[in-house]
Amino acid sequence: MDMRNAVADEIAEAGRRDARLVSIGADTRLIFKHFIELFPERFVDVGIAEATAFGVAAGLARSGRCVIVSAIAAFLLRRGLEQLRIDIAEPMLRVVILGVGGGISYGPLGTTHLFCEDLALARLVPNLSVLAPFDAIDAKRAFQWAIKTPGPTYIRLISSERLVPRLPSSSSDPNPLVAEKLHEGADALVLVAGRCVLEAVTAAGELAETGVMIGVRPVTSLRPFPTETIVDDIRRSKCVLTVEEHVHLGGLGATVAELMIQFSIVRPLVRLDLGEAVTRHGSPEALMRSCGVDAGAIVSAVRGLVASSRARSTP
Amino acid sequence: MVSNDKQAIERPLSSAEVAELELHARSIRRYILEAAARGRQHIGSALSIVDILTILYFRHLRLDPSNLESGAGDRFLLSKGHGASALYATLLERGILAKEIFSTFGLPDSRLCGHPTAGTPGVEISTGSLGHGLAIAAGMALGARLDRSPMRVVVCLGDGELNEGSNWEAALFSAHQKLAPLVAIVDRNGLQQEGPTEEVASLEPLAHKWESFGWSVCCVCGHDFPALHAALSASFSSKRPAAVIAKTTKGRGVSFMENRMEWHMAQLSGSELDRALLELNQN
Repeated sequence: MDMRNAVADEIAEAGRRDARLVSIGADTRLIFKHFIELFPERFVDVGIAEATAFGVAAGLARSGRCVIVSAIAAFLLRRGLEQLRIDIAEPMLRVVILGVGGGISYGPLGTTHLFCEDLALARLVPNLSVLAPFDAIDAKRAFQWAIKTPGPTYIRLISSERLVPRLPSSSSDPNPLVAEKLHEGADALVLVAGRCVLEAVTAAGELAETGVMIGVRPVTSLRPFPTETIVDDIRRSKCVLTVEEHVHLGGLGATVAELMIQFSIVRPLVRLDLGEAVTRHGSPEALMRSCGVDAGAIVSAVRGLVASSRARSTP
Repeated sequence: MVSNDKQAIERPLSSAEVAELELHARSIRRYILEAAARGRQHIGSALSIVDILTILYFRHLRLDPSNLESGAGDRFLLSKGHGASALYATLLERGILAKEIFSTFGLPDSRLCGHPTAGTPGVEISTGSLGHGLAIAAGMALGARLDRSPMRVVVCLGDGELNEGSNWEAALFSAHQKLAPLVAIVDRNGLQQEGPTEEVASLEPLAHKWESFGWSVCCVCGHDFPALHAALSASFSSKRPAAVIAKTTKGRGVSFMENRMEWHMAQLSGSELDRALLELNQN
């Protein structure tokens, strides 16, 4: 199941529950297809005009209405950043922003369509909640949370068809802000976001076969950040690896590093990310491999971390 | 003074009504000048819109100053946020903004900023970055239509502000959606920060641009109350979004400021304030 289809159902459902809810596209209707069938008068297409999508959303939301805006993530957030910040986020309007194709989703289309700094940009917008779900089920929960939460939310949707396997012990109704662990193990802690979550689970399986057991904690919510849970995880760990489909600045790894300093937790920390920018094109799988954020890279990084922490603990 | 009766709004102004509006406009200009003596302000572009704000707040906008929070009235957005001083002074004259608050404007630590900030009584949205107001106004007009509300939305744009492409996106959208009543008043004072608009990035033929986008357009003198009144009355009854291109004079009302770039942003000395007020009172 793909994230966009999963969320499309939820948007229609939200429209059913809230008769004043309006959705806005910028020449982008696919995600609203079910909503438009049911409530054509409550969908508006502003055309290829992302800043105006946010401006119009602000005007609609000022009367207490909930508004959903969706377009290609890179164009929507980059072009509309000022409108998002001043017109929507500062007055804390109820606007749910669905950025389609965040990260390297549109890798084959070229670098104009890549958006590997979206979480950092979104985190800099005051009052904006920032969610990066890792599969369709997680995206559905993220949307359900956003639609009933005051203030604006940015949700990064990625092209990812595969569901991430949950642990048998996982809750049927988990807190979307504090994602549950997907693998248990004490040798290393892997904190991971978005598309890389599935890679981390795959890596955990490979490592387990060689006797290395890692804990895998996905982080869906970059803001509000599940600080208490993550700090607790890090305190219990021997070493930490962060993995993300995001540039080095301002994403999950940066947040974790800041927390470790803030809470005075000293652990070996390795960060796998997309570096300064992705300047190549290619399929998401190929880019993950070449940028070093796939399962193979996670396995190597964990082996390195575990070996060096064992060397340190052996006098 | 403010009537909800459509016919009363639309009939021509009597000379007594014009005289009354002129008195309000004079007070508003005086407040602007006094504030500019307290601290450095955008003066020229505030004085150019005084007559527009006067006729809106004292004739056309259906507002209940004692109950703005209800959200029931018409909406006015000052997209050209650097005209803040004129907006604050008008809100003071209209009894929406308290004198104690306005009298600090221009002083350090005043609650009032150089550009309108949401949270100030009577100020709908924060503006100052140009090119935001029209899209927000369009969203409000769309919301009113969905709610079957009679709310009218008026947005005031600077002419220099029209350099920002977002205005034209919003203009395209509003016309396509036939959003009405939605009125955009362009303060056509002809000057922007670095010079005449036609020398920086020419806007003419401006009326044709709006018309070609699908708006109904009126061109009027922005200091002529009967003409402004007729243009606004026609605009509010238009089935399409309506642009009023109001030809104005930057610094209007104070001869040594009119069309002078140096009064775009400045502070008045005591003697300059005296000269300006003397001239206002003589007119």
